[in-house]
Amino acid sequence: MGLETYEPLIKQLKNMLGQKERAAALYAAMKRGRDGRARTMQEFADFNEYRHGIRKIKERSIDNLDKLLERFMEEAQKRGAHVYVARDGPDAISYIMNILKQKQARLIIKSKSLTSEEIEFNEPFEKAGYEVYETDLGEWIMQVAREKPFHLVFPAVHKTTPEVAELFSRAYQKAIEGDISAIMKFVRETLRRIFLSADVGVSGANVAIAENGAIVLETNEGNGRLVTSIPKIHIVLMGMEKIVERVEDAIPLIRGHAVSATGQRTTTYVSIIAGRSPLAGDDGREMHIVILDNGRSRMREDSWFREALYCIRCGACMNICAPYSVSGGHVFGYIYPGPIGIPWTANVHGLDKAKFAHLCISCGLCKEICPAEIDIPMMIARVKELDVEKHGQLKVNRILESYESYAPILSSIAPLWNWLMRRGLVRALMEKLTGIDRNRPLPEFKRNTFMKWYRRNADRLRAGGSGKKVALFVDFFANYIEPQLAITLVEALARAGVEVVVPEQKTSGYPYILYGDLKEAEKVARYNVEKLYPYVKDGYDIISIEPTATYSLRESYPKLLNNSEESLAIASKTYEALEYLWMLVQQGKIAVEKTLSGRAGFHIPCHERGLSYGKYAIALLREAGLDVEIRETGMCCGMAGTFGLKKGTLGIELSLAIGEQLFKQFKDNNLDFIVTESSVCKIQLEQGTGLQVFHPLKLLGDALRVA
Amino acid sequence: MKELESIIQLFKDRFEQQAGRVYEAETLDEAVSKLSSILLEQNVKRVAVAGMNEQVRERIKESLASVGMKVIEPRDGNAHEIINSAEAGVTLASFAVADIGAIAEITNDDADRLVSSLPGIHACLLQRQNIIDTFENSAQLIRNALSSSQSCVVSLIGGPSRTGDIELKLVLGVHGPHQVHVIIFG
Repeated sequence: MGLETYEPLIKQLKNMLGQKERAAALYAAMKRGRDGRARTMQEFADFNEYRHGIRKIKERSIDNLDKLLERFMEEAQKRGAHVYVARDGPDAISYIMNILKQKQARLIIKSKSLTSEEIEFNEPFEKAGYEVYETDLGEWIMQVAREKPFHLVFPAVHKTTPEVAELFSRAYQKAIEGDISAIMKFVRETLRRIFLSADVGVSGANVAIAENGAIVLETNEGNGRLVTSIPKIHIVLMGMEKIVERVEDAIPLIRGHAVSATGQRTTTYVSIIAGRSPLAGDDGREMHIVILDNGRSRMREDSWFREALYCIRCGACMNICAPYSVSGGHVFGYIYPGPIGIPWTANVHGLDKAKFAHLCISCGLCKEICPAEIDIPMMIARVKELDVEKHGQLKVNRILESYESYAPILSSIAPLWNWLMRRGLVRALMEKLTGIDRNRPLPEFKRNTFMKWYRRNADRLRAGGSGKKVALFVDFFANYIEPQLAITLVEALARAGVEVVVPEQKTSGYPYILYGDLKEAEKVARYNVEKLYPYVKDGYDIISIEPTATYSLRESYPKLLNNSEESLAIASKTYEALEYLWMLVQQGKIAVEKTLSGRAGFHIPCHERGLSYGKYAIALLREAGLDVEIRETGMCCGMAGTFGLKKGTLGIELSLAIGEQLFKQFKDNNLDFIVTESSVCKIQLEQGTGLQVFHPLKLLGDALRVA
Repeated sequence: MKELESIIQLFKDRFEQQAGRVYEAETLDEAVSKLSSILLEQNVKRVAVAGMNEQVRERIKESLASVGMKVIEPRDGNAHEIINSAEAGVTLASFAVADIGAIAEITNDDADRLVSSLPGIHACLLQRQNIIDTFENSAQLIRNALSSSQSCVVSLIGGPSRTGDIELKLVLGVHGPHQVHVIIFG
């Protein structure tokens, strides 16, 4: 039932994965955005603090939206602007259509407005006989090509120079040479005539300021200034969520927007427009402000989606999104592309248009880059859940979301299971039955799990001595696959006089989030929080080896459990295993011997980016004598938990396509091996690079001594 | 004083990094003659001058006329067409913000906005004492400007008009000026 709804998505994706040139252009655009951002962030005392400030402004503004809306309308009206709140797209369009009829307008010029795209503004006006011109270059190219934007900030990034020249040549029956300066000359001259004769200018608003009824418009090309100054009528079409209270609230949003989008300090032009100015004394000019609801009021009341209203449309989330990097805005988007495009599409265009949610691999990096710290991954999980409820779950997802719960059985028959998994025929059969790709090497289960070892050693490990006590959150991998990692860790802790206990627990449950089963995810979170909380209350620190497990405790559980006191207490006491070891080294309780040599490339797993960027692991490895360098694209390696294990386009094919850029980084250098803290990234990197991949604890092993 | 110097330096560095050009002059006279020579060098024949303090405007007009440029004051008729015929637009900045490398124009008539929007070259005089260190610290100034009249536009300009929309290649001067010259004086 409903599973055929995946088919168009898979078909589109498959088509896109074949277009390497487009992917390369897109990758370059994304990298440009990320690199620019990283550069300009340095000019801030602490950009993360700055992000936090932006979030607070948006929280406050959305909390007080009713009052701010009223104030904004009042102030704008005092200045002579006409203000209208439109319930949805058709309402906004018919209101504007009426104005234009009354004024007998013909020619409409637009500066880039995503809100106008949201309601598909152009089509009805063109049908009604108006001439409509997009004047932002990228938008104009898309308008002439009759396409939707490929990227939020660079809408036409997938078009080459000759393609653009040909497009305009054909549309305007004029020979335009295929070089940028010829195109630019054509663009400037053609649109200049349009600017000078337009009756109506339509703009969006990046921010609206309640205290003085002003709107803020940010552009680079200068089209926004012309659109809002030359025509008799200026129409502002803005989303309801754009209103802030004061000028002081607008400024960080203006900066945060530009820095996050391209690394500019602000866009070249920032126009703060209050009321309609006369033109050379002519004051018979009008300003109409249409404030669009279109689902926003509903989103505000929805505890899952309220945060989407904090979005300032910078597009940074799509610059860091690995599946977007190989699929592009036409596949990974409807009108709003990229990660934040998923909750927005589901809410303003409908769940059916948001099927591309299933391209999300839950790496979590969109949250890390977002200037308003929006928990985009959790909203996407919710969209997946709603879609699954309506259309059913893919079998392979159903199996993989709960595969960790089979671990006890598989581990009890480990020798047989591992033997079976090495048989091609068995894997082929398994692929057919489950959808797990036969070409992915699966980690082998150990019969002697960490927990078995722990039970034999529990009393000894409880001895302590230093007054420090930790509760270990083992998770799946360190228990069933590589128990030696956990043993190394707790032995080192024990030697340093730290008391170690292992409370009753389930594995993190993060795969439920990946596959959009938030109810199960919440159950697991509730269980683990209930079991761990008594220890935290009793003064224990929680540590975990796997970045995803640490991330679950710190970030996901509080969100799943509505920021319950217990979940927050645990989050505040949770450490990465290597962070904890490094702390003990700093305190002189553990010494690191120089047992390592060679040159390693370090891969930062996505969830580790939400923690400490691997800095503790790197510090320990360097202390032990290893030459370690980070190699990164800044994005996910493509494995994304179990996503890359799946057969087909929406699995291993997408996964390896994503990995390509990262594999190059490791292969182009003379590295002896790779180090990473994630068990699943290891599978992807070994397969993609041919190099061996180790967990830092495996390398450190006996280097960790009593000081 | 030393602090002001470092603020000016920051403005200069960042504005130039954004492809704008910055010059320094001691006096208004010196600034105006610098303006003439910049525009002469660019072979400018027609100049639009925005509304500004009477005294400054007269000096500019005088100086530009004396080197044979036609000065356009778009105060009547078809303002946008007239401004569009100029090769350069001259404005007086209300203030500048150092940390974002931008000049700010406060206008109550859109003809003044068009002077810095339509011509290919924009030259702008800026008083030394009006350079503010951070965007955040300009908030009160912006609020005052907006509340001082029925209609008002505060325009921050961080260099020439630009795009990267085709193959991410940076092109200056799309719909706005391809050159922005700022002359600091006083």
